[in-house]
Parts: sequence; C-alpha cells; structure tokens
Amino acid sequence: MSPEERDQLIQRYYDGETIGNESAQAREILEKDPEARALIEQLQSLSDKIKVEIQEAVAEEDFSTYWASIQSRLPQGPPTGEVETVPDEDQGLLEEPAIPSDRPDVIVHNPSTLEPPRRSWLPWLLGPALGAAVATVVVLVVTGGETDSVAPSPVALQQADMQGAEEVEARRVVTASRAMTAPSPDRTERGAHSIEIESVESDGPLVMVLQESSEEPAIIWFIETGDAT
Amino acid sequence: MTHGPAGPPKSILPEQDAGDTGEVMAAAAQEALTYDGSDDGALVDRIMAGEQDAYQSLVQRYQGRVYAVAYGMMRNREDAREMAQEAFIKAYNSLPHFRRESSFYTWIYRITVNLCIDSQRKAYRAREIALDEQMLPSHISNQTGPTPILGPSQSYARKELRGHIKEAIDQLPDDQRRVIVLREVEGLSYKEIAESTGAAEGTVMSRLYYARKRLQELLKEVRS
Repeated sequence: MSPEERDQLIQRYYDGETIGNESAQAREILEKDPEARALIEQLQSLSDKIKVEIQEAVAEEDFSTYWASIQSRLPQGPPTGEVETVPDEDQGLLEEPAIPSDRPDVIVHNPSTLEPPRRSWLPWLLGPALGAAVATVVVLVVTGGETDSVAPSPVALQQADMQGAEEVEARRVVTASRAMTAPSPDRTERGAHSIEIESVESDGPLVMVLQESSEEPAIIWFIETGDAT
Repeated sequence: MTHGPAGPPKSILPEQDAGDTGEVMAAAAQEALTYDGSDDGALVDRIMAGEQDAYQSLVQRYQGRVYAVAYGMMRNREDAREMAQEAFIKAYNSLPHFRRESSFYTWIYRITVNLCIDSQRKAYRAREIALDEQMLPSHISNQTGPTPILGPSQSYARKELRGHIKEAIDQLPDDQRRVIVLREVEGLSYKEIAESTGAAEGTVMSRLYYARKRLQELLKEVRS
C-alpha cells in the first residue's frame, strides 16, 4: 500500500466512510504506523480550524435585517410554485454527470429523445435468409420430398434458432423492464443479465441494441402495448 | 423535525440541538430559535395556506446554517448574504414543489449549494470574457468584520489564525472547497455530498483528500 493509499484509507476511516474490512485494516495501520496516527490528529485539527473560521464568519453576520430583506422580495400571497428551477429533493443540480452507485442495470434513454435510425440491418439479414430459403427449395426438389429421415433444413434451423432467441430476448426485455422499475436493483440477488444500452436502432418491431463493452449487438423484440412500445 | 427518511444533516451550526460547537454560534442559534417552536411541516402548511409571516420562523431557524454554507462556498460576506437570501426567496416560491421527502433544511441547503455553484460559474464566465482583473478575488482578502470580544493577545492570535485559514481555504479550487465545506460545515457523508454536487462518490473522496492535503500544506507554509 502506497503512502497515498494509506492516507486515503485513514481519511475514509476518519470520515466514517470505510467499507468492508477497511475499518479493521485502518485500525491495524493506526496501531503500527505513527504517521497514520499523526494524520488523524492533523485531520481533526484541520477540521476544527475550518469550523472556527466559518463559525466566526457566521457570528459576524448581522441577521437582523434578513427577514425584512427577504420579505420585501417575496410575492404577495401564498407561493405559486412558479420558479425557474429548483433541485429535486433526491438529487442536487448536477455539476457533472453523476454516477450513482445504485444506478439501474439497464439504462434506456427517453424514447422521445432517441435519434432516428441511421442505418438498417434488416435488409442485410433478409439476404442470407432468402438465399437459405432458395437452397431449401432446391434440396426439397432434389430429394423428392423424402422428409421422413431428412435433417431439419437450414431455414427450419434458423427459424428455430430465432424462435429460441426470441424467447431469450423476450425474457431479457422483461428483465430489463423490471430493472428499470426496481427501486434498488441488486445485481447479485437478481442474477439477471445486465446490459447498458449505448444506442437503439429500429425500423419496426426488430430493434438492434448496441451494448457497452460488447462487440456483438443484442436484439430485443419490443411488444406493442397500445400507448407505448 | 424531519419529513421522510432523510433528516437534516449534522452541522457545525446548531439548529434545535445546540450541541457543543462553540459558544458564539450556540448563542446566535438560540436567538434564532426563540421565534417559533412550530415544526417545519406545520410552518410549511401555514405558509401554503397564505400565512406568509410563518416563513419568518423558517428563515430565522435556518438563516445561520444557510449563510454558513453560502459563506463557505462563496468566501465573501456580500455574496454569501445574497446567496442565502436568494435561496430563501427561491425556496418560498418553490414550496408547492417541496414534496417533504427530505427535511426543509436538506432541501434549502441544496438550493443554496446550487445557487452558489451557478454564481461561481457565471463569475468565471464573466471573468473569461471580460478578462477584468478587478474581478479577481482581491475583495475577498479585504473582508474583515467586527471580531468577537476577546482579550487583546487572544483576539490578535485568533484573528491571525483565522486569516491564515481563510486565505488557505480561498486558495482551494471551487470543486475542492465545495466538498470540504459540505463535509466540515454541514457534516455530510460522501454520498450526500455526491448527491448535492452531482459528482461521483469516488470523486468526492478524492477532492476531499486533495483539498485537505492542500490546506495542510498551505497552513504549514504559514507556520514555517
């Protein structure tokens, strides 16, 4: 552990912000390391000085005119709620994108803000599928319809695969929607597959979702529910 | 009193609970608290019913703490006063949006923090555009006010120490000063600071670490 890491651990310990076995680790360091003990004293001393500086500034302030000054700028009557912006009670005004520790597993942007599809991959998929269908017809013609012992055709296999994939992906959609509504998602307890959506492209019911840290696109079938998809 | 799970953060500035955080502040807080013993929720109800004078109690109850946050962030009395009063005005106008999931104080200190951040950003932008050296914080170091009644040598030593601390805090970058004020003045946890400033918890920890380190260095320089 470098001196900086040690000092940061001691700071977290001082602030009561240790997690896991960090407290025990910090106590062990404090027992052995005089520099760590000195750091605790310095943190306490610094804290006291800052408090004194602020407290005295507050003590010097003349609050006797505060109310009169504020009242003169208040509108007549009860508050109407007409203001520019006020922070949410759960979250302050964001100085920069916050990364809350309890963010949902799946991050989906507001559909209304999604950009329109830039490219479609459906035609790209239809090409091979059409080719496979033609090949199947040719095989059927050549074998004369001897289907009893014939292995499943590529189309049938593809359809089966797609059906299976559809079921899997449908489950994923359900999981995703649960994750979005869950108040406090817990990755370990739920055990669901976590995805973080970078962008969504769609020409209809088929939607390609690009995942972060993944080279392979995921496919999600959205089910029409009436008012929203 | 609180509404919902989040109570008012522990502060160096006493509210109903004066604690042992300094005689000067305890006296000031006591003065502020004698106005009305109603709880925040009852006062908010009265204000919403059109009884504007009830807001006076809320203002007097929290003006010291709100000013402390504003002063810690803005570092000069005029700006801090303006931010504190603006926060109360904004809070009043926004009361219909106050869902009472947090305490009134938690809500208004966040309004204060946001106003201070906005103000600092505007000041930076103005400075960048105008390149006006008059706007550099020379006015900050010239701020002095009446000192508490102390013995001459005690008063001098205290004033000198305070001056050094003030200079050191003034030298911190805004983002570092912000976290140290919220931590030391408001007693907020890393998570609460993260929520108030929009920074990640890890960033808060890191800023706090470097802010303290810098302050220690600056104060050491002064001593030497």
